[in-house]
Amino acid sequence: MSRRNQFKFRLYVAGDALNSAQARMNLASLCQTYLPDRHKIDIVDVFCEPRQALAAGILMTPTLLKLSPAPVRRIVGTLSQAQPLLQALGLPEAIAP
Amino acid sequence: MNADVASVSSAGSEEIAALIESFHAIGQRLEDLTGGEVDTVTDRLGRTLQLRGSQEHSRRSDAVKQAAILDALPAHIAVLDASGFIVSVNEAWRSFATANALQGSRYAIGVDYPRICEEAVGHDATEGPAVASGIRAVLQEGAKGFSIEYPCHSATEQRWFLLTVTPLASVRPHGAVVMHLNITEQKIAELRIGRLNRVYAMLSGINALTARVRGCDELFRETCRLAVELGGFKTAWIGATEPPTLDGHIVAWCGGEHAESIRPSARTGTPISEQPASTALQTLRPVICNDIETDPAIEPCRAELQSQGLRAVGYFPLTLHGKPRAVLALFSGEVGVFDAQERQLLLDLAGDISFALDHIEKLERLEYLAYYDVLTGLANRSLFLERVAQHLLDAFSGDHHLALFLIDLERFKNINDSLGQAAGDALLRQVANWLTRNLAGASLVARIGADRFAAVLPQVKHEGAVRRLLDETLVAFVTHPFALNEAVFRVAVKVGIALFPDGGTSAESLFKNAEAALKKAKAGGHRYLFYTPQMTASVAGKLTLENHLRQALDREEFVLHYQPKVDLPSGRVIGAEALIRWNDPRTGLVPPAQFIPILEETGLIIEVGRWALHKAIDDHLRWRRTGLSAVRVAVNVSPLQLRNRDFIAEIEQAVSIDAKAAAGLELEITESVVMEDVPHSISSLRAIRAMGVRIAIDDFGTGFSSLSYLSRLPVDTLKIDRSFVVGIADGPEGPALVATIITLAHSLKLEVVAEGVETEEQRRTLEELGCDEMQGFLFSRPMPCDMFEARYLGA
Repeated sequence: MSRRNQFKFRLYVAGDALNSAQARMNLASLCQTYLPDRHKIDIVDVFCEPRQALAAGILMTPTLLKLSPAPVRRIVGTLSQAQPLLQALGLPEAIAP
Repeated sequence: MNADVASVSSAGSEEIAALIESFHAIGQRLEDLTGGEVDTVTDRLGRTLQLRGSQEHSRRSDAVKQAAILDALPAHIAVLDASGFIVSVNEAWRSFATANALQGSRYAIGVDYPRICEEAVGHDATEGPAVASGIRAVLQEGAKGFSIEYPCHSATEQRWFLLTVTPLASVRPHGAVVMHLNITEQKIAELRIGRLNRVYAMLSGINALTARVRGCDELFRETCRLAVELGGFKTAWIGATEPPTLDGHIVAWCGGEHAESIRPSARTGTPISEQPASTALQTLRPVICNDIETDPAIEPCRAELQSQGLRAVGYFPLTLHGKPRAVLALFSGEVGVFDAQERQLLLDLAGDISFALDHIEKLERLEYLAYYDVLTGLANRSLFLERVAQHLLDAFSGDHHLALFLIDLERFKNINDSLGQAAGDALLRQVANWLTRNLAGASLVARIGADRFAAVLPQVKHEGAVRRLLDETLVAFVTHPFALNEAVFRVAVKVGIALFPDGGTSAESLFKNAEAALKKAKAGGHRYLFYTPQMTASVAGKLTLENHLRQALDREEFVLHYQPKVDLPSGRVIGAEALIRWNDPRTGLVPPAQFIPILEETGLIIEVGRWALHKAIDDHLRWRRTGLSAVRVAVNVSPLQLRNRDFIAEIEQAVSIDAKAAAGLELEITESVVMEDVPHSISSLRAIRAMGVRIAIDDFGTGFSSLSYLSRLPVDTLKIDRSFVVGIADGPEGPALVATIITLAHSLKLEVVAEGVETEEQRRTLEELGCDEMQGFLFSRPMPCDMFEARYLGA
């Protein structure tokens, strides 16, 4: 697998809050299904690291940043709807026929 | 917080109400905008706000989680506020409080926990004050925590708890969490391991003991001590049985009250046979009672054991050669101590002790064999000498003498031979008994030889006192009737005595000198003799003589003299007795009485006797060859020669030199020597006679011939002892005795020779009585060979 295809995510969450927990679970299962061995997830708790969230201009949690491959995309919410999400992430080839 | 609210004015309240209204509206709007999918929003300054839905969810789920976790814990947990009041409890706490309803209501929410701990009473609540002060230390003094283990036994089970108090650091002023954890299982395992460790320690202590212990008493005493000191038993005792009765009594005890009354028995059917200790002895299986209160087997002694606070007991039998020897009883103040593992350990222990008993018994037996005479039970020579040496230490420091006796039974061998060894043994035992009881003042009587005893008088004033004692004792002894095979025997003794310090200053020298005195007494016919230095002087003289005699043999200084035997009534010389003489170049001819006994003692007689035999045969054969009248030659045989197993072969070899040699030879053997070992004598004499050599019984009448033996002895001639010949003229009994001997001999087809005939009167009487031959100074003294040849053989 080439390094180019590596997906890098950063998920901003609010501790164990319900939506954040769901977003974390949904992202993990999506990556497991469509991007096995080609992803890296970085979790940032805004309660613990508010400055990092502020610097990134994160106004809400949960917020997912797709850092690579470019372009950077930002998605807010629980990530519970898979198809629009895949679309948004630029993974059309993963969309079921 | 309440105080802050109180200071808010009513005008402020309205504004607060309005702001809350708008705050809710904003919150609702944010929820709507984010579709409920967002937890927090952040303003431009980075201030994060958690939305209401998420907030409520978090709160709810946190509370549920915490409650669930707390309730799932087996520990009893209560949260105390800063003042020590219970503000919250978990499910385990609640149900424990309910189950123990008696105090339960007092441990509910709202209770001042340290206070009720302090107020708790009862035998299980001794830790209450400690717990209270521990909690207060955490609540008020900032202690990092507190914990304590405590027992809390209910009516039905034993329980232990671990109490921990942990400060609630996140709350100010902080409270505390109190947790009780039931640690009964660990505690029981811990106690059991502790107890097993004690038993192991006791086991290893006792095993080390069995390796070095030398006596049963010590083994038993130390076992009990180790059982209490290392094994943790409250009381331990050992009851040993007496072999003949099988009844026992306590021989060792440690811990608790000593109950003299306990008497275990290995017998059945006695009043004490039902005791559990007796049962263990009878069945050779342990009797174990893990709860004295309920076990029916312990019924006979329950009350007594309970009164001493004992709760469990085990009786373990100890065996020797598979028979009950003792019982080890172990008592504990705890119920149920004898579990399977401990029982096995203690059974192993009982086996080890039994093994040690066996070992000790063997040691004692060996020690007994090393120091005692098994037949009589008296001390043997080693123990006797050891004791004499001890008494000598006293004699050295005190101003008194010490007497050592050696006592020889006379003619014991005769009794042994004629009545059998069993009777001989019985006599020795009776003599041993008599001496032990009647030898006044003797501290120790010992048997030091087949028919020889020894005794020591540790304190005597002077020789006179010993003489008086001996005179009295010897009279009593020789008149005492010893019963053997339903007949009565009287036994004579000879005694040799050595007195400390004149007769020796060490046990060995006293013993040796008493031996010398005894030898002298036997030789001289004294009943007893005290040792005198002259005795050893004569011994030294003897040594020189012995050396000279050895040289004499090498230098051919011995010669044979011949004394003629005369036929009656013809007066012809028909034989001669060959007598050994020593021609000492230093002093001339030595009388036989001066050297023959030394030859006997030193064993030289065997060689000199052999020389005499060959010389006599040579002389006889020479007479034949040279045409002299070749009379038969009689050679004396000493006891030592007869006992020598090569003797027969030697004679055979000596007579094989010539076909006529045997016919010219006669062997003279004294009556007492023949009677010493009759069966052996008969077979030896038979073998000798078979070669054609004649045999004469010498010194007849001085020994103790049994008529029945005499008839069976393969001999040709009786030589009447000179003492009868000398007494022949003394009154009417003299000739009567000799007449009886001659009649007896003739009826057994034996020839009779009279020795020591010195007067014509003796000659005439003997001839009248039918005596066949004579020998004595009346006819001729013994003379050198050439003279004998010239005078009697017609040379």
